[in-house]
Amino acid sequence: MAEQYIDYDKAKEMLGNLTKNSEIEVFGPVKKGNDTFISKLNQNSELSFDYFITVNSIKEALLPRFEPILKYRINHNGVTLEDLPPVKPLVVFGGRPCDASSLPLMKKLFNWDFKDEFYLERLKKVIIITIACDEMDENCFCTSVGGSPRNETGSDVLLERVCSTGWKAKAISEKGKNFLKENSNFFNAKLTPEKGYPKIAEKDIPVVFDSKKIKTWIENNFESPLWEEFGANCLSCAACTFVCPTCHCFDITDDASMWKGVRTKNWDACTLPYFTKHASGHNPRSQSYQRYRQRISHKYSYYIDLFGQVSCTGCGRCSRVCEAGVNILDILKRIDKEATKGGK
Amino acid sequence: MKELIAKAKELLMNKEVDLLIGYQSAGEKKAKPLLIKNPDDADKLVFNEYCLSNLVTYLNRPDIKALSKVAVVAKGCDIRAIVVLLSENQLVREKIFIIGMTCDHVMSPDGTEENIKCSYCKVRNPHLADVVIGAPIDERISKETVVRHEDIEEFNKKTKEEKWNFWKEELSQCIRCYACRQVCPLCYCERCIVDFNNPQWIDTRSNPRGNFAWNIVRALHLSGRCIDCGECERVCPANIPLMLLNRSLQEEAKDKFDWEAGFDPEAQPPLTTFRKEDDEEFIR
Amino acid sequence: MSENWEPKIVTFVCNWCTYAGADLAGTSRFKYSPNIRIIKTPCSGRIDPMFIVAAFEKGADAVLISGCHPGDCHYNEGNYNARRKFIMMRRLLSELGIDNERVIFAWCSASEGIKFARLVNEVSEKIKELGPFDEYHNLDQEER
Repeated sequence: MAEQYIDYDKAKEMLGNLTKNSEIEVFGPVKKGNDTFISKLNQNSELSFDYFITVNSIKEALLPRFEPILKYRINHNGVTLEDLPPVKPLVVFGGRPCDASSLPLMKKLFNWDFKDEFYLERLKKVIIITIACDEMDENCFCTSVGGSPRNETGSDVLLERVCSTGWKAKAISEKGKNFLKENSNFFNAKLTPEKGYPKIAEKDIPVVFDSKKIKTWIENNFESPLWEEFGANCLSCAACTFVCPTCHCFDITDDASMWKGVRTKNWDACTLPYFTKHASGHNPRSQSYQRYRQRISHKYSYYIDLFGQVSCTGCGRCSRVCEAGVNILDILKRIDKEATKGGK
Repeated sequence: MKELIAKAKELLMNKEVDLLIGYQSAGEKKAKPLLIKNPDDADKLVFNEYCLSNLVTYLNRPDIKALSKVAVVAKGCDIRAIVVLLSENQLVREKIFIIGMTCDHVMSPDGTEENIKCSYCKVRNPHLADVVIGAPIDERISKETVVRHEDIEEFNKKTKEEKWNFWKEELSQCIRCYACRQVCPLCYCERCIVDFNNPQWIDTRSNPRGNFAWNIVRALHLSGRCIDCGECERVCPANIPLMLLNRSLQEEAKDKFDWEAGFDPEAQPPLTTFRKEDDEEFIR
Repeated sequence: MSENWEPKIVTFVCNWCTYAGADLAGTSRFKYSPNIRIIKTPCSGRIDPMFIVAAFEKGADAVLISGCHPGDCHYNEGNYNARRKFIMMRRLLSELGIDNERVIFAWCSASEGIKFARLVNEVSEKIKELGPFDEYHNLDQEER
């Protein structure tokens, strides 16, 4: 097949067209203030393509902030379960390779001892259209965890910028191929590749730590005083975990009244003070640094034990969103240094 | 800056304080909190117009509260938070050492212009401190000036429906990360109302209903207390203009109770007291 | 709005004045509209603004709050403190675009059975005019 290109106008047209169909959910980049967010699109959404990276990740499309998992009604004949709304097909446009590469990671978790049908069903029905990175900042470190600015993992279609207003499309999966075929009328822009694009290459993001060393250090240094230093600034909000593409903790809550009720799966976060509070009143992670240690250890040690992979894609979102100045890259570099020095 | 570093070293060296909370550089045009116990680390301290964080919020953290004495670098606006905490018996004055910084203005979070809160600042010179660092600065407005916020005035031109739609749109984006709560120097409850589940006052789902309830309770619990540091709005990862609510309640407190929070630690906070002649036009 | 719609008005009253006033309205056989659901609290000072939010969440179209007249509070100053809270709550609600006519405050003593009946009738009429508070009720979305 000939090479396929799409420009800003056609992309807007295509997404606008897709949102008209109420049977699918469409997510895309929307500007708010100085920042861009991946949001669920409606007819009035104002799309924006000139962004470096969105504040939030595409996680929200597949793992909603809240989602009903059980609904019931009570009447004089007893309890009746109600049907849950069917999982709609999704199109997610505008994530970065560091977003998309989280999906195979998350799939391992939600396909583990318990099969999370909601997540898996969405994953089956989703089309991930990723835009390869064209910029980077001091918080990016995808190459250190096996990614790259043009990494194809997890994507169905990868768009690579060829000029200031358009991209070249590449189908990665079977789903992606079909999507390009079905929407070929939008992927037919006549673009001439300009010089200077793409602006960054893999070598621009140097590998700055060795995740194997980090795992070993974490295993041996649970009580290290360094943790206190790493988490010193942390104020225990959940901003870092909620923007993270791989953080996946959730809480189950019931909302019931006399005759009906709904059980909901909600986002939760290990950084929040009440996450580990026991009914007895005891909290094993009562201090903010202990909770921050959990976050890092989970990503760089425990997850590897379970699924053989680091649960971090190096997007740097947590550092960007943290106004208390906790920077994950600084911490990982420091651990790497300590591990090299200590030899443990 | 030299004076600040020298003072910090002295305090830590003489073991006058266990911990010092100040600012360090976080790259060009950025600063972030610095918590130090070792006098050698004091060289990292900086103070400039990018020092936005209100460090007073750290004084509420349980592990820091447990220390015997803590020094904190604070601008006039931050000190207002200390004053409120003192008047609510949340801090022991003897246990904190306030390094007051004179400050003309800080920059907006994106670093491009003067922060909006500085245009009506009345405390460019710290009003409660153990030591003041920096040359005195002329106050731009007097203590008596009644502050009127342009953004509120603008907002109040909207009709009821417009306001409702505005907040419905904004609040539906709240992801309930509670960054606004955690960063607020005045949100010190050991257990927040939203963390109670028996009874569950506030829906923990981040659907519009839960988000409305949460943001109503957050704003209301700060009414007559908010000191306008703007931290909640700055840290909000969804860019929700939370200060619109806080500022309008500040204006209400000024109009109805002639009250501005954070100036006098001895004064009785407005919602713990009353006057017989309080407004009751709205009561039938 | 369906034709048979009747407003639900959650009414928080204090134990000592308004509840007795409502009682008097009943024993005196004053007729008042059946749209209110009375919840008794020890004092108007006990009425947390969250009660108002909770009432709207659970389907109320309006909230009516009533306590002792100033100076009559059984606890001397509970209603004065409540008044300040309500001032703040009203401003916040109007800032959010919630109609202040849906949150009604009143003082009503134990001897004012007739005032209570009149108040309830007036409020019910007003809320019937305004219609159901669907804006708030529709916030309860189960799906994103």
